[in-house]
Order: sequence, then structure tokens, then C-alpha cells
Amino acid sequence: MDPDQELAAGLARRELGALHATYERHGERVQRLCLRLLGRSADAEDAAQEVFLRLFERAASFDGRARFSTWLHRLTVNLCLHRLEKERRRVGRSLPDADELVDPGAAPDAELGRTEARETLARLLARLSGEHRAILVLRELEGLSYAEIAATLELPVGTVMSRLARARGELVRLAGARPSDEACPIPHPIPEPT
Amino acid sequence: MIHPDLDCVAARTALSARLDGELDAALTDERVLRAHLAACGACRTHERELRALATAFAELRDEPALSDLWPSIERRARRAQRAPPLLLRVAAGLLGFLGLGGAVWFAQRGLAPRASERHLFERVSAPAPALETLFASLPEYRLLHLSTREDQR
Ligand SMILES: [Zn+2]
Repeated sequence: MDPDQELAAGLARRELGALHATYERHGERVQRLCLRLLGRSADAEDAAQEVFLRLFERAASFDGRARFSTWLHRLTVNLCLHRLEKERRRVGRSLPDADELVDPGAAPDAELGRTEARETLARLLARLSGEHRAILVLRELEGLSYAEIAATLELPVGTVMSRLARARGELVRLAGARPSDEACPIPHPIPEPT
Repeated sequence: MIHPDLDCVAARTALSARLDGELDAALTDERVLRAHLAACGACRTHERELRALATAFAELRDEPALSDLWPSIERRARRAQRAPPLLLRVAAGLLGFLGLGGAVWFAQRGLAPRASERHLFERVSAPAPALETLFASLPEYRLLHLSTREDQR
């Protein structure tokens, strides 16, 4: 039996041992995904905990149509996007600040070694919509294929492809927007399809 | 000349997909894309920017430091485990609500229930049974109860 199937069955019976095994197997990935989507370390840790508690409450609704890991990542992405949206409505700005996006829990060496490009990208990523941010994180940081992203976000592959292209276009546009408004690298930005 | 089948939006979508090794998904012929790039300076610039972006993402890809969340998860899960499952809580809430609804309905009519309605009244507006009583009859709850007691030992 697939180990994930076994975990899902144990979770559906609300066995704490199954929850622990699931955490051992998928915890790092869930926590990393939360961190990359939410930015702030404390928020990410709280979100990751909530993912596992939801899992404990709702594992019985796992119908096996998707792989268990895909289902778990979908749960994680949806929970993080929901939190981002709530936060956006609460404070009336789009997303966390860039310095909040960079993991404050990283080792000092890693802090020092961070390049300017990295910080710039983190700041730009934080300004994207949750939808664009999620798809870029899944592709660029989690390394998922289009088919895997499609399964995780429950989208057609074609939508994954066009959304990724738009998200990248948006990042490039933001990167080119200088305060003095000069040197915009794209002469004719692509309009967002309606 | 810019290829008539590929405008800049489609070309940039294809460029992004090619970068991911997923040009098949774009249903765009590599030669058509190359022809567009040869004719369109703006899309050539975009391609360079996409490559720079990919390099920058590689920098962000390192593994962040993670904490052990299991102790907190375990504590919260045990608390959740002692509470009846969500479905049962909803059912209990619904029964309580119906009980209250029955009382309100009769109060609004301003009538004592007629003898023929008494059985209905009694059933509907009786206070919702205590959770223990309600769930004790369900095997799932008994199992839960057992596992909780085991945990406490
Ligand atoms: Zn073009």
C-alpha cells in the first residue's frame, strides 16, 4: 500500500500516530511552502500548524482522486491565500513588506550572503497578487511541473501556463518601474487578459 | 515580418513555457517562436529579462531554517481529538436550533399545543440532549472516548 494512502486512512480514523507520521513525512515541505507564500516566519509557522489540524479534522473528506501530497499542498496553498487575503483586507495594503518576506529565521551566514538581487526579487514577489505569487512559488521555488501545479491549484494546464507568463511579466514590469520612470525595459507591457 | 499566428502575448507565454521546458503546453512551434523573436525586439528584451528572473529565483531557492512544530501541533490535535468530530458538533447544533425553533414557533402562535400536537411539541422543543448522551450512542464517539482516556494514562 502507498505510504500516503496508509497515512490518509489513519488520519480519517483520527489517529494521532498517523498525524505524527504525516508531519514527519510532509511537515518540512508544508512549512517551507507557508514560509514562501506568507513571508513572515511566525505567520508561516502558525499556518503550517493549522494545515495539520485541518488535516486531522478533514482527512475523511480526502477522496483519493488526487495524490495525497497534492491534496495536502492544495490545502496549504488555499489556507495561505485565504490568510493573505484576510490580511490584505485588514490592513488595506496588498501584501507583507519585502523585509518581512525574507526569512528572519535564517542563519546569520545566510543573511550576510544574501545578494541584492535576492532582496529585490523578494520585495517584488511580495507586491504580486496572491494568485501570481502562489503560482511562481510553486514553479520557481518548489519546482513543480505544469501538470503538478495544475493538479494542486485545480486549474487546466493552459491556465497554469498563461498565469505563469503573466506573473513573470508583472514581476518584470515591477522591476522596470524606476521611481524616475525612466528605463522601463518593456516598451509595450502586455495587457492583463480579461 | 512578425508571424501572423503569434502575437507578442502568445510569444511571451511561449517564452515563459520554454524556459520551464514546457513548450509543448503552449502548442507553439519552436520555429514560429524563433521567427517572432527574430522580428520583435521587444520580445527579445523580454526573453533576456525572463532569463535574469530565473537566475534571481535560483538565489531564493535555498532551504529556509525551519522549526519543529510537532509539539504544538500535538497539543492542539489532542485538544481537537477530545472534542467530538465536526460533523457531530454541527448535528448537535442543528438539533439545539430546531428545539429552540419549535419553542419560538409555538410561542408566536400564542397557543398551548393542542393535545393532538403535544407529541410533536415534546419531540421538537425538548431541550437538546447533553452532548455526552447524544454521542455516547455513536460507536465513533465511544472509540474516541477510549482513545482519549488512553492518552491521559
Ligand atoms: Zn513580440
